[in-house]
Amino acid sequence: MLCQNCGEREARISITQIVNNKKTEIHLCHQCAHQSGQADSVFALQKMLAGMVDWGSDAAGKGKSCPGCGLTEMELRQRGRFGCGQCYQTWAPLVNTIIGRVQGRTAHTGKIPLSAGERARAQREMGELKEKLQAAVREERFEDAAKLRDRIRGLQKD
Amino acid sequence: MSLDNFLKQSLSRWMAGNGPNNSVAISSRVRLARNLPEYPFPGQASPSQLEEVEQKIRRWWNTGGLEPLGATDYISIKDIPENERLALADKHLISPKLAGQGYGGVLLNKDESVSVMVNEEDHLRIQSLLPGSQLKEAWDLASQVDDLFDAGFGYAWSPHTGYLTCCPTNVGTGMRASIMLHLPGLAFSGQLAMVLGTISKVGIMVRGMFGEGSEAQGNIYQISNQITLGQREEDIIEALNRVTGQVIDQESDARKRLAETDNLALRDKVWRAYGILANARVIASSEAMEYISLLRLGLDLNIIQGLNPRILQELLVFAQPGYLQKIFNQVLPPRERDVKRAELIRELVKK
Repeated sequence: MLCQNCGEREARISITQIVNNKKTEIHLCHQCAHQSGQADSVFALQKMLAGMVDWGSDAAGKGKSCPGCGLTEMELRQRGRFGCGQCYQTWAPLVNTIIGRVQGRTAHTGKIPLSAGERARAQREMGELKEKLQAAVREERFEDAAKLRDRIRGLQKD
Repeated sequence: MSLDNFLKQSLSRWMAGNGPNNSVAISSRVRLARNLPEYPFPGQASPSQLEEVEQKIRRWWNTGGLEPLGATDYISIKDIPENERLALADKHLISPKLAGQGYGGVLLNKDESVSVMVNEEDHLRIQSLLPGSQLKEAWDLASQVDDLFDAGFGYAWSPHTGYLTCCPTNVGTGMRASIMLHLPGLAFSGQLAMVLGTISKVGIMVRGMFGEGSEAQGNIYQISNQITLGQREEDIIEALNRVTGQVIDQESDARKRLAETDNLALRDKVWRAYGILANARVIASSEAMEYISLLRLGLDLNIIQGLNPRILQELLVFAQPGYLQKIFNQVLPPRERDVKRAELIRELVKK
């Protein structure tokens, strides 16, 4: 069997991926496997993305391109890669589907860059406090809940 | 300059062999994918936009943007010959992708524990690379470098999705943390598949030395996080540390048991490996890795003495095609590489 990436050399390495009980196999030669390694496997990912998102059904986005970088839906579909930061808004519903499937979650809870400013940090803190408040109410820890409520009010004033 | 001296001066900090748990954990790496807000990602940018991003970063670097790291170098990919590019990739300082493309560059600090790729898949790929098991330290270092770039440029970031990256597999934290482990004890005692099989289920990825899809040469495995979104960086690191800690313990136990059983078959294998490495005239990379792994295990179990244990790290890098061509300063066709590799290895295992 020939390598499915270059189509030139004999395939020596098989990659099997199981996503949502759907099995995909890809056969590569040493060189292509080596190249696609190191960073993320470009190619395995494309196959995977193409296989798991139902692209065809959304006719509304046809012919549209991202105002930030000119990426079309077709290009996004072929490459499984975004063209710029704005793509995340341009293709919002599709982006959420892709990210949800690849990552299992959609909301960032990690580092906030200093450049994102005080507002982003306050927003994050607010979100976390609200979650804690809900938990406190649920578990009938009313003293904690009152304290959390006061902190939320304090933040809302700022 | 003698070969020995040349190679000594070529050691990155991660290769020095003085990190925690270094007899099992070779190196720890944290990579952060970051993008500047006002430009398309490199894959979608025009040549002039690529140039603009690189110039912008270079100017900022020139005016001391990375000063807190001490002396740093900027290497533009198009300014160095292919040998040098491959050699940087062999040292894990740049990706094969950057080595193979005609644009972009890399910023390196003196001991090469920090490298920042410019215009690879994302505008910035910040990497820290330390010897042994030091994922937390590597994260702290990468995060510190991250803050410098953030202060200089700001990032493509959204409160909901986090750091915006070219590939959906990196979005959120943009962080890939990985640790490279040498596991000959588990391999030799037949427990490897079981141990690695149990950990690859929990959002953690196990791969061979060259990454996804590659066979594990020389019993070397990379363990890294698969998910980059929805968890704090510290929690990802913590989870990886827990898992790799267990693997390291199991590997150490396996080696202890091998040592206690005075295993004749193992001693025979180690000495045969030495015999081949010390005498071969032609040797392929995969064969060399197999024997170097055994030799390193033999050193650890005191079956064989007098060799520098750093030999594994050295040959991981120096016996690769790119580095071989750099050492011998010529373009080598595959067959010729196997000859030069054998020559280099004979030199390095001489007692």
